Amino acid sequence: MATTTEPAPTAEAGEREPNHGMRIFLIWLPVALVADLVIWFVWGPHLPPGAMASASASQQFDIRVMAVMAAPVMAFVLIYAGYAFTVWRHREGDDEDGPPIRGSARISAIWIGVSTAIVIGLFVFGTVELIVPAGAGAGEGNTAIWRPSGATPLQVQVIGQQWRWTYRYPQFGGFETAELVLPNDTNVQFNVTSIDVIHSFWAYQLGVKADANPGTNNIAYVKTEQTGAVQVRCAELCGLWHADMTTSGEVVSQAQFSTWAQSTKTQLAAVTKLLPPYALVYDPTVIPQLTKGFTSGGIYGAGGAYYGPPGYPKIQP
Amino acid sequence: MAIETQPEKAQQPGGRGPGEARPTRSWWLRPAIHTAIIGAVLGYLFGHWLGNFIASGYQQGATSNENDFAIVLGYVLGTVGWLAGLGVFNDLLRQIVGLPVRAREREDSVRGGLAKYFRYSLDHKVVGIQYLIGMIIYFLTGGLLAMAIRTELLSPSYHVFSSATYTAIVGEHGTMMMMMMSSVVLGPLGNYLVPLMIGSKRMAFPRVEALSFWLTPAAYLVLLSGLMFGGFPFGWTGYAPLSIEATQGADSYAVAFGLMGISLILLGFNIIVTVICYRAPGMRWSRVPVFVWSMVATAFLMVLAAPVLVGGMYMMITDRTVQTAFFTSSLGGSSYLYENLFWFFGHPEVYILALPGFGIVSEIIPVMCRKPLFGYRVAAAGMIGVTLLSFFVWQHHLFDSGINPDMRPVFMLTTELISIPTGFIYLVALGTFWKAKIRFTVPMLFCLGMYFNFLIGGVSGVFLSDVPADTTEHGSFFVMAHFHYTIMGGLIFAFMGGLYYWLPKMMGIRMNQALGKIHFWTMFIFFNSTFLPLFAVGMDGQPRRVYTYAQNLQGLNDWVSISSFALGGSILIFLINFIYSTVIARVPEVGNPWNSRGLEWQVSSPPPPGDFAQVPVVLSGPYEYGVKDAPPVADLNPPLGVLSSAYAGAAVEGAEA
Amino acid sequence: MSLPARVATLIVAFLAVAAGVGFVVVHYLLGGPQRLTFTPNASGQVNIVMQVDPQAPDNASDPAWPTYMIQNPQTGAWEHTTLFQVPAGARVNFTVYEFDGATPLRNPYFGKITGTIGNVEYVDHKPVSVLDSWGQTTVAHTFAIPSLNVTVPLYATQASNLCPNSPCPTNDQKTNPYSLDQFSINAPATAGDYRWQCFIPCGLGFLDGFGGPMQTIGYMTGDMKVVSS
Repeated sequence: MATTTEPAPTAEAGEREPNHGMRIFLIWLPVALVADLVIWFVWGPHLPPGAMASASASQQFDIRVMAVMAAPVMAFVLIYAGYAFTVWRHREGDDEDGPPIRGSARISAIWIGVSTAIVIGLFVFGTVELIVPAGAGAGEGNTAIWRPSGATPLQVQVIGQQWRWTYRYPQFGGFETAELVLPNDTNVQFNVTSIDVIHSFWAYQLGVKADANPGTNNIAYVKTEQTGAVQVRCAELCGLWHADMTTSGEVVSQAQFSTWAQSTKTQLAAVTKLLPPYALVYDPTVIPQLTKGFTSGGIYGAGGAYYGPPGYPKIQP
Repeated sequence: MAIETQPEKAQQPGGRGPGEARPTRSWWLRPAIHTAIIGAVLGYLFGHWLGNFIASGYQQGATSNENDFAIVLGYVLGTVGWLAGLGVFNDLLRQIVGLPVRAREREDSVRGGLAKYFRYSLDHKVVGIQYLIGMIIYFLTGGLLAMAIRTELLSPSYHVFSSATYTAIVGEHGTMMMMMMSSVVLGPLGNYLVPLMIGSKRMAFPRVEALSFWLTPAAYLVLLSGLMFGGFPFGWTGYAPLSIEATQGADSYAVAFGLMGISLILLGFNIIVTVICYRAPGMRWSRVPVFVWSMVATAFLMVLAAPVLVGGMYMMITDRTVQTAFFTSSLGGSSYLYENLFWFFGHPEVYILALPGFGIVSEIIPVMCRKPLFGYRVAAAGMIGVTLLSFFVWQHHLFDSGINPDMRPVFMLTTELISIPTGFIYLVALGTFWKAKIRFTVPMLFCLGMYFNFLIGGVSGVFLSDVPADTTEHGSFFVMAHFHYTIMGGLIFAFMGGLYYWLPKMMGIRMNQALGKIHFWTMFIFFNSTFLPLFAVGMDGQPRRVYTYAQNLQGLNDWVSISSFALGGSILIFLINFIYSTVIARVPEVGNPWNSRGLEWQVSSPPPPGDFAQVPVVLSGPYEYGVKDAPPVADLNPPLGVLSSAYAGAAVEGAEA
Repeated sequence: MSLPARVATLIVAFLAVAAGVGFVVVHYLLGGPQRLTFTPNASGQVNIVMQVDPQAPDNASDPAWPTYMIQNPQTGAWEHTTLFQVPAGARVNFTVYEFDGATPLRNPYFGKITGTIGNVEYVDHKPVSVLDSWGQTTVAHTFAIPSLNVTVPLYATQASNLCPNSPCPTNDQKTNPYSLDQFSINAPATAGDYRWQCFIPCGLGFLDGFGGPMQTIGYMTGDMKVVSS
């Protein structure tokens, strides 16, 4: 079926068909401009997730840019549609069909070209914005390829378990605590893992989200830039109290952080001795110091239900 | 002396002479839903007993106080019993033992009455109506569950349900909607209209089609029965190892989803073969209505993606029952395996939900604008493009999960690319509106609502495809708002439009248009009022599937909850309109009320048994509005010999498809 | 069917559906264990007595699962529930009869007692601040209120003849051996629901031991409701 080229505006006796395209453009242009300016300047600095850390700042910038690109597109469709419904609505008594415009190769080509250009542009932008801020706070798996430059970041292991987050600081003796305290102006490397089901470590103000999978490590980087409170939530449904896996952490000055780390290390020395040696993943079924004193019910419970780990002694009750 | 030959007449099975009607038994003696229920109960009891017999000695069962093996076997054999009670296997068994198969494809729509809708009917029109009623029931059930969710979210500190019950309700709502609404258009409208639109008197595989319907009530009941077992705590995505760890409600999830996956495969397969092989002469691919294009595209997605789901559910079941270790990392499996299997299905699944909506709106707007569809080829190309690309984007659900990091820009690219063919739908719509004569009938209003909602939903998808931005948005209410806008705002609005448009065709009655306009405006306003603030709620840090949230978000959540109750009210208006129009008022509408050139409108409403008295010869496309001296859509009474010459012509020219 | 017949059928069908929905909501969705209310005694303190059993009562929905039980303050009977209510700001004294044998903690960090008054628990009246659940058979279950940073690993009974019937009687240490674990916390000043849970993977038969009773309210998890006085 041949497509007709766009027909010349139908001329009625003594009238000229108004240039609908130009009208729509002239309505669209100021609306798009104003929307973009408002988004960029007025709304932009307040967009989520804020700018407290490198990752959240870069995400805020991304959202700003995409909003500025999305607004004119949406405005175009809505203005065109609004125009069409006003100018080209069916008038009472007119039972004629509309003009038989089957398509326009030119218009289709322009549309496809523009949308492809926007999409490719967004892709390049998104990739650059992902690589440059060292992964933009997203979990990169166990072999991170976009790392911050400079000295080794502060290592914080995030352990997800049903239903509480705990954190280990290997550079301070490997103590484990339920408080998240971070120093300001520091590159932080989160090593996120789980010891049971899939959780997701979401530090909102830092812009960090990394899934906690059992048996694997998930690395996310962020550079803290301001002090303040950090809301930590679980972003992957993990069972009954998923909604309650919320804690608040804090970014404090570097001096305060050192004091806290040293004092916590001393306070928790007794329980740090009992912890397994620091590792990037923990096998929930391995309990090396198991003694013969456990009841058979106890072994199965710890060993993971219906399988005991290899080499488990089976104790008679 | 010449040998006299008798003209051939169809042989009646069972040894009777030609022309003698077969005696029929009373309705309660023929297999129908009542025998199906009996079969289901017997099958469940037998399966449960068999499971206990085999597996009650497992230590896992004794200590956990539940026997998942017995439950799964009970469900599976219960479904087999359900199908056996319906008479699904009767023809198969007859063929196996050498008895003639009953030819009852056309008699169902001859007989009046409602009994045929409760039987395993081979008439595609009956199956279409069965699907329609079924889908409405499933949608309303899911909707009630949604009302329960929003009731709980009215306050972060006062709790109506316990956390366990709330999580179970969330899972049921999500699974019910995602499972069932996959077939919400292909089932009712696809099965009913595709043969009529392509000029065929039948579907390719009537038994497969009917089977795909009757699996849906089984899946529905299996899923709902999970509530009796305490529900399942992992949402519709079923991530392992939580789904392996969960109690027995998870078995209903896995079995129900598996059954529905099989139903999707059968449904899609039938539609593909019908459209490829049963088009009338003259129905070239360039004349196929764009709705049928969307049905074919969706059907390909179903046939290619649903098997992966069924496989994944099967693996989950074996992990839960017979101690395989596919998804358990401490035993050598991987939780990532489940995530990838699920989303390899899960992404095409959302296009299974979106494409039929595109098809419906692109089909209706030329009729209401009295203009040809702008860019028919662009529309078809858009649907094919979406279908192809949808298999290459699934890891965008897994950007933060620890997948190989350099795959993420690849999937960001493919996800952003898929927005190009999706945008073709808008090119086609805007082009069709250009200089048209737009009539704002109720179906047209729903189509326009669909375009508005999908615009918001689609643009928010671009925000999600950007990996840095997705880091904040993933797992939050932003994603929820995005997919509710595209699926409910897109598909369900389009479905409503399609229902108002095609109900005169399907039932010969019209829906009340005044109530329809009230339904549209309330649904549109309250839908947007419910879901638009959820973008902000998500960006402000509220994760998905939570029963409590930060205190400062209570205002927004309360606004959303109240709006959702009003949205439920608008669906109630729809239900009242639907029931009033079909049961009480029954205002007849037998002609072509929308003055459409579609082939399905050229026969009576509802169509006669066999759809067309003879296979028509198609003379032109369905969108030739405004064309002077356009030939009619089809010749419904082609002279004898036209069919054979049409095929001979094809052999010579080689141009007709 | 005639119009009145259709209308009548519709009404009957609607009532049947409404009744069905109502039944499902009330029976399956709104049910749950009862909540026990505790009021302060003469000195302004609240005393809560609980026991932890290796199995549940015979009439429970899952008798094979380990469970907590709370003693009803008015009747003295043992109730199969994990929901209780205390007034805000009061000192709450817990006495737990621990009848179950030991199981190792998945994360030994939870072997440290935190959040209690003095950061200790009293096992048979002797204070303990850290328990080694991996090297010794010391911990059976935990009572933890994460939002208040309360973690109390409950000392296990060391005998091998565990109590066979729930609720376990507390009067005979020979046939039903238990470990007496006591601790106190200060109820928070803000009213609300504070969930509590166990951190020992004792959900036998479930993967990683954290299914079943660990995720079912009324067994190994529940919540403490704090009301303003």
